[in-house]
Amino acid sequence: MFRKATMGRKVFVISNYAILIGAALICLLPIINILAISFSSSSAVGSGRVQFWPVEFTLKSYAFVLEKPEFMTSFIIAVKRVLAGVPINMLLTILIAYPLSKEKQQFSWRGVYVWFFVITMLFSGGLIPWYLTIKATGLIDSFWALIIPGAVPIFNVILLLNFFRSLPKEIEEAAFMDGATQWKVLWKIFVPLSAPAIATLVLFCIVTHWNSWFEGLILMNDPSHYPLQSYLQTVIVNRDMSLATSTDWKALALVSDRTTKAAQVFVATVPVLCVYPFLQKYFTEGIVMGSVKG
Amino acid sequence: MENRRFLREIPFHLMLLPGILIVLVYNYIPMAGIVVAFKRFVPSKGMFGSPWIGWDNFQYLLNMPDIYQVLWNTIYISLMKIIAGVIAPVLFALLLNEARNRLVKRSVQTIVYFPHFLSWIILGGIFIDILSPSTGIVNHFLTWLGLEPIYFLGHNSWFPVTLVGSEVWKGFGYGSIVYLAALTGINPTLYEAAVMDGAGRWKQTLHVTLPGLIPMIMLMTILSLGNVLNAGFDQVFNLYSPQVYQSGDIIDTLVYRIGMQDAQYGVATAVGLFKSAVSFLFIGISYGLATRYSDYRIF
Amino acid sequence: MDTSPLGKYDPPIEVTAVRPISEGMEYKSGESLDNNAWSRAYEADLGIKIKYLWTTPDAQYAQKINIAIASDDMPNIAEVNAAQLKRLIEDDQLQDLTSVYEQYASPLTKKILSEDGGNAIKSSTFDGKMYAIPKMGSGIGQSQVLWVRTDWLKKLNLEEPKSMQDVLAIAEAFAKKDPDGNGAADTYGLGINKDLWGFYAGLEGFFNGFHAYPNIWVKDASGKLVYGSVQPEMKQALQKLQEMYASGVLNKEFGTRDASKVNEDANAGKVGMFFGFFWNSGWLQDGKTNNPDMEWKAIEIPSIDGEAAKSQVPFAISTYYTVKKDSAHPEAAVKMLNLALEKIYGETAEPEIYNVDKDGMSAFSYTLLYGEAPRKNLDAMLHIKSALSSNDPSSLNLEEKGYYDNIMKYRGGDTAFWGAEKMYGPEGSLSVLDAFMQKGLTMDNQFFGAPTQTMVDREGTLQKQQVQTFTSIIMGGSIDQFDAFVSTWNKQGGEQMTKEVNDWSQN
Repeated sequence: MFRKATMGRKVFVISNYAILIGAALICLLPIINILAISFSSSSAVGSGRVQFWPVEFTLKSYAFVLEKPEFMTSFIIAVKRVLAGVPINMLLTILIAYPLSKEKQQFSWRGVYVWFFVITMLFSGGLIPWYLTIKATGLIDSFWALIIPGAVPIFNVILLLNFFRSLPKEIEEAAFMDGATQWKVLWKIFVPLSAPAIATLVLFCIVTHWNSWFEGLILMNDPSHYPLQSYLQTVIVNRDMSLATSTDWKALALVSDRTTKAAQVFVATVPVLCVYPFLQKYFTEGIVMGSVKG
Repeated sequence: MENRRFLREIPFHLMLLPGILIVLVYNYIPMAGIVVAFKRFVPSKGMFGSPWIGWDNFQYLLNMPDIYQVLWNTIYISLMKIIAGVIAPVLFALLLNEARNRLVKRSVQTIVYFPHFLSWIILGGIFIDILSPSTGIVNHFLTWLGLEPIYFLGHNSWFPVTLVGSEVWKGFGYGSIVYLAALTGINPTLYEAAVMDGAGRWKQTLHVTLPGLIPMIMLMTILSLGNVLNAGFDQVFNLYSPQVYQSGDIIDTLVYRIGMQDAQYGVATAVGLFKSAVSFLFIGISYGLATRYSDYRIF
Repeated sequence: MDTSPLGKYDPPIEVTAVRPISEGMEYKSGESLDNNAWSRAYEADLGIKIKYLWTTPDAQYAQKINIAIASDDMPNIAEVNAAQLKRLIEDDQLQDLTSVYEQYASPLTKKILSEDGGNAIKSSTFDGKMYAIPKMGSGIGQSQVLWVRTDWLKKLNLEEPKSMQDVLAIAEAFAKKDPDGNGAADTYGLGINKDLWGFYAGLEGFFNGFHAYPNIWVKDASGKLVYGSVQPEMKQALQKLQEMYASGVLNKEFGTRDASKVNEDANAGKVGMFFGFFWNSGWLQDGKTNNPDMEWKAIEIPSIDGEAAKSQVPFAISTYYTVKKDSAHPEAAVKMLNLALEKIYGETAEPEIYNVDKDGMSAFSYTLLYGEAPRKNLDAMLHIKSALSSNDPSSLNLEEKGYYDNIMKYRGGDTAFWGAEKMYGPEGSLSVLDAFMQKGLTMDNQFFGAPTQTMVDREGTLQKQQVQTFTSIIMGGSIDQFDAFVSTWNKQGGEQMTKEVNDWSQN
C-alpha cells in the first residue's frame, strides 16, 4: 500500500480527478443557468440574453419569493412532512426488513411476506381506486394523506434487507446465546451496525418526501394545504393557453415571470441539498465491521 | 415442534403487522380497481357495477396505428437507460472511491447529486437551449473540436441517445449513493489480504471492490428491469417534438396525447395492467436466473 | 319561495361548488374566496351561500375534475369542458336544466347567451335537453392577426404587406437583408412554433391567407361540412413554407422551439413577423423594454389572390357550467348567473364594485358563474378610441378607464405600457379584429358539438399524423406526402368523423 506510486498510477490519479471535476462541472451548468436567471431582470431573461451570468443584476425575484405567503406556507408544510414522514418510513422499513432478512429456516413465512410486498411495487389499481381508498379512510385534505398511504417504501425495504443479510451471523448468534430477544438483536445489533445503509435510506426518504408533488395536488382541497413541491408545480407548469377565453387574456398577456420561477426553484432545492453533507459522513468514510461475507 | 416454531416466529409477525396493515389498505384494496381493465367504465355504476367487455380495452390499444413502433421505441429507450443507468453510477462510485482528497471527493459528490432535484419541466427549457445546433454550448464545443454540429433533439437517430445521455446526466450522482454505501460494507481485511498477495490498486479494484459491489449491482439491475415499459414520460414529454415522434413517441406520451387518461379510464387501466404484467415477467425471470446461477436472492 | 330570476331564498340555502383559481386572482386585504364583494352579494341578494368542496390552480383543474367525474363525486355546481360535459351526460350525472333555464333566466341572461345566434345554447343541448349553461365569451379573441416589426420595414424601406406575396417578400428581406444591422445572418422572416398551431407564432393565419382553414370544420361549395386540414388549399401554403424553410426565412430549428422559445427570439430581435392572438403584444413587452426602438404592429391577414382572406375563428364556448343531478336547487345556478350579468352589464349595474374596482382588482373573477358579451373587448376598444380622439374619458367604465390610463402613460413616455397601446390603441390589434368582424372576414368553426365517438377514439392519432406530415413537408420532404396524409386521414377515421359531423349539423 505504501509502495512508490508508479507512472501509470500517477496518470490514473490525475485523469481521475479530471473526470470527477469535469462531471461535477457538467452537473453544475443548469444550476448556474437557473441562478443567473433568478438574479437577472425579467426583460433580459424574456429576450434570451441570460445564459450563465446574470444580466442587469437584481435581487427582486428573491424579495418576491420570500414575501410570497404561499411559498412560505408550503415550505413549512414540506418541512413538517419530512419531520413526520421520515421517522415513520424508517421505523416501518426497519421492522419489515428485519424479519424478511432471515433465512427460511428461521422464518418459515418469509417467502409469502416478501412477495406480498414486492407485488405492490409492480401492480396498482390506478389513480381513481387509490383516490377513493384514501377518501374512504378520511384522509382527503389532511396532512396525514401525505404520510400514511406511502408509509412503506418497498424499494428501501429491499435495500435494507439485503444489507441486514450481509451482516455477520456470528454476532447475532452470540447474542441469542446470551438470551437476547429478536427485538433486542434488531435494535442493539442490526440497527447500529447498519448505520451507512440507514443513513442512505434516511436520505432517500427525505428526498422522496421533499420532492413529491402529485399527492399534494390530488389529495388536498385547498392550495393553501399544498407542500412546497406541489405549490412549485403550479408555478412552473405552463397552462394551456389555447382555450383561454377573452376574460383571462390579461393574465395570459403577462408571461409567467421566469426570474421568479427560477428563484423559487432554487430556494426550494437548497434545503435538501444541505442535508446531503450531513449524512455523507456515514457512508463515505466507511465503518469497520467484522468479517462480511461476499 | 410446529408449535414451538410458531411461538418462535411470533415476534417476526408482530414486526410486520403495522406495515402489512398499511400496505393492505392503501395498496391491495385499490388493486381491486384492476377489474376496470376488463370493463367499460361507467362512473355512476362504480368499478364493480360497470359492464364486462373482456379484452376489448387491450384490443383497442393494440389496434392503434403506430402501436408497434411506439412499443419498440419504449423498450429501446428504456433498455438503454437501464443499462447506462447501472453502469454510470457504478463507474462513478468506483472513481470517487479512488479519489483520496476529501475536499474534492465531498464537493464533487454533493454537486453531482444536484440535477436529480430539477424537474424535467425546468430542464426541458435548459436542454433545448444548450443542445441547439446553432446557439447551444454543446455544439459550440463540438465545432471547436472540429466536428459537425449535431441536432440532438431534432434528429431521429440522435434523439433516443440524447434521452439516455440526459437521463444518465440527471441520475448518476443520486444513483451512485447506494453503491457508495455498499462500498463501506466491504471488509477492509480483504484489501489487506490482497495487498499481502501483491495486488496493486487495479487488481484490488478488480478482485475486491467490484465483487463486493456485485450483489448491489444485481439488485439494482433486477429492480430497474421492472421499468422496461417506463421510458420516462416527463423527460420525453418535455424534450420531444413532432419531427422526432418516429423515434421518441413512447407508450406514456401516446396515451397522454390521445387523452385516454381522461376519457377512457378502462383503456388507461388496461395500459397500466399491461405494463405491470410485463414488469412482473422481467423481474420474475431475472430473479429466477439470479437465484439459479449466482445463488443470490435479491429479496 | 321567490321564483323570480333574482328572487331571494328565505331561509338561505347552501350550494356546493368547485372552481379553478387563476394565477392572477387577487383579493383586497382581509378578503378571500369566501368573503368578497361577490360572496356577499350572493348571500345578501339571493340568500345563497357557496360551499367550495375544493379549489385548485388552473393548470390542475382538469385533472381534479376528471377524478370527480370518474368517482361520481361532482358538486352541485362545477365548470367543465365540452368533452367532460359529454361524459357527464352519458353517465347521467347531470340535471336537465331546460325548464329551469326557461323559467329562471332573466331577459338579460337570455339575451347575452343567445347573442351568437343560439349556437352556444345549441352546444349545451343534447337530445333536446339543455344540460349545462355555456360560459359566454368571444371566439374572435382566439383568431390570429399578423404581427410585423414596423421599425424593420422602415429600415429596409418596405411597405406594410397588402398581400400574401408581400408577406413572402418581406419575410425574405427580413431574413436576408440584415434588418437589425448587426452584420450577422441571425434574423428570421416568420416565427413559427414547433406545434405549428396556437396563440403565438402559429400558422393558422398563414394558411388563412391561402384560404385554407386547418383544424376546423368548414362548409364546402355544396354546403357539406368538411375538415379544413385535408382540403387542397393547404398544399400550396405548405409548398410555400417549404420554400421559406429551404431559403432560411424560417428558423431551421423551429421544430424544437415552442411558443415561449419563439417569443424569446422575438424579444431578442430575431423575428420579423408572426401570426398570433391580439394580446401577444403583452408577450413582446420585454423586447420593447430592452430595445425601445423595437416596434410591432398588428395587421389584417393578407390574401394570396384577389379574394380577401378570412381569419378562422374557433367556437367561442369552451367552458360549461353544470348542475349535479338531483340537486335540491338547480335554479340557484341560473340565479347566480342572472345576478352576475345584472350587476356587471344590467340596468342596475355597479361595475365599480362588481366588475373591476377602483383598485384595479378584477372582482368579476370572484363570480362562480360568469359570461360576457362576445363583443365586450371590441366595444371597449371602440369606446377607448373615441375617448382618445376627444380627450374625454368620462364616458368610460372603470375597466376601460384603466386601459385608457395605460395608453396615456405610454404616450407620456413610459414604455412599460406599450402593450396597452398595441391592443386598445387606435391602430391596435383589437381594431384589426374589429375590422375582420365589420367586413365579415371571419371563418367560424362550423362544428361546435361535443366531440363525437370517432373523434374521441381517433383524433389524437390523426393530429399526430397531421403535424408529423406537415413538419416533414416544411423541412423539405416531398409535397406528395400531403396526398398520402389525406387518404390516411380518411381511412383512419376522418371519413367517419365527416359523416358524424354532417349528421350533427342536420339535427
